[in-house]
Amino acid sequence: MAVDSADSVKSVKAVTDRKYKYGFTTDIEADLAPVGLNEEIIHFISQKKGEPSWLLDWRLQAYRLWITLKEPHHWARLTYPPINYQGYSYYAAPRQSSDAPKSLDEVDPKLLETYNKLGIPLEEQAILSGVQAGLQGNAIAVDAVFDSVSVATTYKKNLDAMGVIFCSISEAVHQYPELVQRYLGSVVPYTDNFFATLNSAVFTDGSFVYVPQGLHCPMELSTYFRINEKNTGQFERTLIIADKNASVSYLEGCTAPQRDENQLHAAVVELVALDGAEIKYSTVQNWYPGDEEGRGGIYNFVTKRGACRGRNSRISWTQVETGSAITWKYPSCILQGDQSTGEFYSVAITNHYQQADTGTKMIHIGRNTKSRIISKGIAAGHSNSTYRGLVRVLPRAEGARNYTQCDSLLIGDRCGAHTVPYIEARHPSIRVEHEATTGKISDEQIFYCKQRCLSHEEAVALIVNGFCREVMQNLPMEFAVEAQKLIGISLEGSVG
Amino acid sequence: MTTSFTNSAVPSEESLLQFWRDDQANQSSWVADFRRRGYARYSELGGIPTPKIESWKYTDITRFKRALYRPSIERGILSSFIWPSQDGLLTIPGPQFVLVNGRFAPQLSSSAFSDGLIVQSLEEALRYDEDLKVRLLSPEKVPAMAALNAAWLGEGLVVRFKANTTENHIVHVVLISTNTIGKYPIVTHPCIVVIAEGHATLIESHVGLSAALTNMVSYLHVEPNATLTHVRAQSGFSETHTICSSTATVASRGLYQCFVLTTGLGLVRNELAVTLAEAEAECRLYGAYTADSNRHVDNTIVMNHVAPATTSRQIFKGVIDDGGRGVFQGRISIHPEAQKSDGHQIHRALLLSPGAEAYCKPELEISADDVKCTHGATAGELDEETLFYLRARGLDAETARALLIESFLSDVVNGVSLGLPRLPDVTRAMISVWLAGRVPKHEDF
Amino acid sequence: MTCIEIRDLHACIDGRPILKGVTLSLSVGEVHAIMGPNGAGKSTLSHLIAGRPGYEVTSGTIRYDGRDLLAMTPEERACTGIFLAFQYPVEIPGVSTATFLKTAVNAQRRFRGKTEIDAMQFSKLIKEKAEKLGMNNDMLRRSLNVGFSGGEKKRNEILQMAMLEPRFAMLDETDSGLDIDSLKIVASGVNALRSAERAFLVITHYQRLLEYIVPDYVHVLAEGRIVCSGNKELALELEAGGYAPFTTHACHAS
Repeated sequence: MAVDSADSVKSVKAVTDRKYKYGFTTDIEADLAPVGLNEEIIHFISQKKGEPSWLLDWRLQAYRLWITLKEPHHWARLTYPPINYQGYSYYAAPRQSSDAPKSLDEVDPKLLETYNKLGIPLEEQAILSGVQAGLQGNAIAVDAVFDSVSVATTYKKNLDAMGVIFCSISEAVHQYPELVQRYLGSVVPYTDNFFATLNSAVFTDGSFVYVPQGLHCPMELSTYFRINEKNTGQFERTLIIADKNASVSYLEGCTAPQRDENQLHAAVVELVALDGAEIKYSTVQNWYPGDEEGRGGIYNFVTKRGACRGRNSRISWTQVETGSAITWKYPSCILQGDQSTGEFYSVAITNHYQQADTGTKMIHIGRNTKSRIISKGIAAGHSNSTYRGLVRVLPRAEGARNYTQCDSLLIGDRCGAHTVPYIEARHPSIRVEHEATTGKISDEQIFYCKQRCLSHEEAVALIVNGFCREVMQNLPMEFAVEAQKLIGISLEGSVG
Repeated sequence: MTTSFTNSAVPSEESLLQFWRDDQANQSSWVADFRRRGYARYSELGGIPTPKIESWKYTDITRFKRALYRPSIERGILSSFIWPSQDGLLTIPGPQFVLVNGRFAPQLSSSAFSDGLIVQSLEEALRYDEDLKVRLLSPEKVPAMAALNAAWLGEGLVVRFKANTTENHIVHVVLISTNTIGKYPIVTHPCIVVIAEGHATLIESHVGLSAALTNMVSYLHVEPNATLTHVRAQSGFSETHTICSSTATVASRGLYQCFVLTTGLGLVRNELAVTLAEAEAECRLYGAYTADSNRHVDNTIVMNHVAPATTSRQIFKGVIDDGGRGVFQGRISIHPEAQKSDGHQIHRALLLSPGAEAYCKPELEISADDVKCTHGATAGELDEETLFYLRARGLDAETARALLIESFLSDVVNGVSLGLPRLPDVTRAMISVWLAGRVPKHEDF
Repeated sequence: MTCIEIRDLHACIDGRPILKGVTLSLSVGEVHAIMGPNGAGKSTLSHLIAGRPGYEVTSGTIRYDGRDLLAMTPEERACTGIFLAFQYPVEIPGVSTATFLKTAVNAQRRFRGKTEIDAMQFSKLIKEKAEKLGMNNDMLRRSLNVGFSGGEKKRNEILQMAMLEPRFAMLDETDSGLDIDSLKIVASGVNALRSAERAFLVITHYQRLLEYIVPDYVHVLAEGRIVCSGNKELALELEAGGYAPFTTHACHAS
């Protein structure tokens, strides 16, 4: 039986630590800020981006608060050497003309090549010919962020015609300042937590999306991030607003080159859904996880929060996490509007020496709100994976309903899987249900699969696939494909 | 009423030091050293736990801070205790040992009991029983409230169930909190040690008769192949508060089963750390509690599986009404050596009205892969449909609600007897008393 | 043509000897039944042939179409045509029966150097075979064996057998826990697969199954050895007289 466990470990290793395919760098001159963090750097960033004074002030307020704060890692199950915040450069832009490119022709070809290597469709032609088709043959509009700067946004014209705003935050600050000012920091205030405060001070770019009333955005919007420069932290800021009865599906995918020094990623994502609006946010995260010895890798500390402000609004988070040396993220939903719904679907895989402390928070405030949490954790190697979730029902949240299912699968006997849910019920007319299981792939299951012709790897892949099925079903089609490659499994076609 | 806890005429630390000085019999001894270490640990941890400490996040005891230094020489006097005559827990036959305000009261306790049983006051045991000292956890390893108890070490009880008996020995330990003298609530720090070498049943009743605070520590040792059945019933006055830090250690093939029934008292924190220390050790925990009108019931459990093929089961159910708060924190921790272990846990909270609150944190900490662990938690209200159905069959609202509450509690009330045939009836009776004593909050839906 | 040849097989589990010298030969086109008291080693034999870990062969050989079976991995044995219908099939949550079978069929095809089966073709094939076993589409979409009744699980095993078209199929107490109707369906499924290219080993405790799947040979396995062999009449004798007469090497072969 011990043999089978070791085999399982081997097959997961084969799948998840195949030579990190994306570990290459691009040779491009970068526009770098001097190393370190102080008010001058904040000014530097703000000036580089030509920001209005209200935004510079906001950044400075955040920075001044940040220097008084302490990192909050004493309660999460994470251990890592202290981060030297002064050792990073907080701005790195590939050197090109200071105006953002208006079309792909203006983008540095080396950058385009990088994105091609990553399999990201920046060539509109290629998209139109269906090479990288999206859901139902729809195209995907892609905003590519290379280190700190948004490099190109495809499909601008089509989206403009529909009234959808999809551009970099830097651009939005210039073109739509009232919108940005109204919503930026309204879901995650700069005071929220240590990393959010840092992000508010030094964020350089990210995506801005606004979907006007009544519009169901027909294409999926997508952003790819890449951390290229050594010793830079990536601090993107994303803000998505769905106006009344609008809906949008957004995909976030990430990769990073192999570096020995850990790199820091502290992002903030804010979602706002008004009456009847729906936002679906999917992430397939494949940051560099560190090598077999646990060296290098990305530190991923992210604050993601969705505010269901309107009645009948819905926000849904779906994530597949396989990379990153340290992960600390809790995509959350604030269910303010009556009858609003929050959902969280997650697959987190950790291997080698990765550590993940991740989960979600569902805060039920309005009446008859619903939340659903499905979390699947798979731990192998020497890794530790913790699900930390909060379901909080406030005193006026009558009729609240929650269902949580957290399952963990352990592969090998040197890893750990932990579940820490907090359930706070302060109104009686609610129903909160939480279930969690932890186990391993049984030897019987493996033998059964082998007796049906599957190799050990195929058996593990099949069983893991089944384990994650409920979450995978919530990913938009093209993301599901990428996710499956990442986890090394094949999804089924349907028996029609 | 809570002001009586916060107003303390006695300066904090000095009373403890005075207690040490006054205790002539234990001046420079193992006990004195133990107390010093206990206090050092308490101070090192920052004194009384506040909600900033993860394990106390939902239970705030800071209002007792000053009261905890009250010297335990202040005593209530209880000259007699009338044992209830009707079918209560205390009518189950078995020798009875009573502690009044933390101190063993031989005059109220049984004097004749079987050979298979050794019962001594803690003071006596500390003087003569070297083995006992080994059974107590060193103060450096314990959390704050247990460390404080160590600083006040002196009073309590030691019960040893010897091996080689096939019969099940049943023993009552009754802790009575009462104050017939001063105007301040009485604060005590008793320590109870139970060692089971054969089949043993301990019925522990906490009876609150007046404003008091008990900071109790108990050690439960289950020797190889032994079974310890433990019933803890907590009832009484709503200004009697109790913090119980219990540590249970179960040896090879031993079984520790415990039923905690809390239908009274004010603030109750039952903290239980179980260590399934050797192969095939097993633990089953059951709990039923009610909370209302400023009553706060906190069950915090850590179930440590540190050896292979160990099993644990926990099922706790709480019924919470307006003003009440129920807290359940249950961690199942499976260490890498504990392969082939099973741990399961369920907590269900029933909230009867606005103003009722339930906080639940069922944790799984798993570091071995060949295990099966599950936990489940639900919180919710009585089902409106069913309530309506019952009323449509002629039952009035209160009766219908009572029926559904009983149904909700059924598997821990009817299903738990632990070898004591009368236990389910007693449990049902205590809950009915609570139900009847509540003021119905809302009539209609 | 001899398909499986077992010679003087001795095997242990955890050091405990279970098989103490089994010799048995099966040819394609034949259906052999193995009966015997509990603990005799019937399931052990079938699991050992399938390649389950945990069994130690201390002496003896098994040849499969001339090859040394014991040197092959479980999946190799499966891909070359060995099939075991489990007595207690496991559950695989989240993986539908259809997906599972498609993966298995393709794994077998890849091993044999063929291309993967076309989705439409597979769909048609599986529905046909499922229908014959009284299984509807819904069952194909449900997670493998999750929430299946005993009868449904056994039918599922037969469906898998039908899709994988084995050369040597073993049925491990397939009749246990089945009512008469399920039994008949399962038996007809097996009978439909009888062919000159295929050998069957039917392990059963009761004679009843053998009325529906009529064997060519019946063997009695007791105390780790085959103590008696005969034709289907032997099964009736066992039914009447029990196993006791056979555990002392007495044999009434006809």
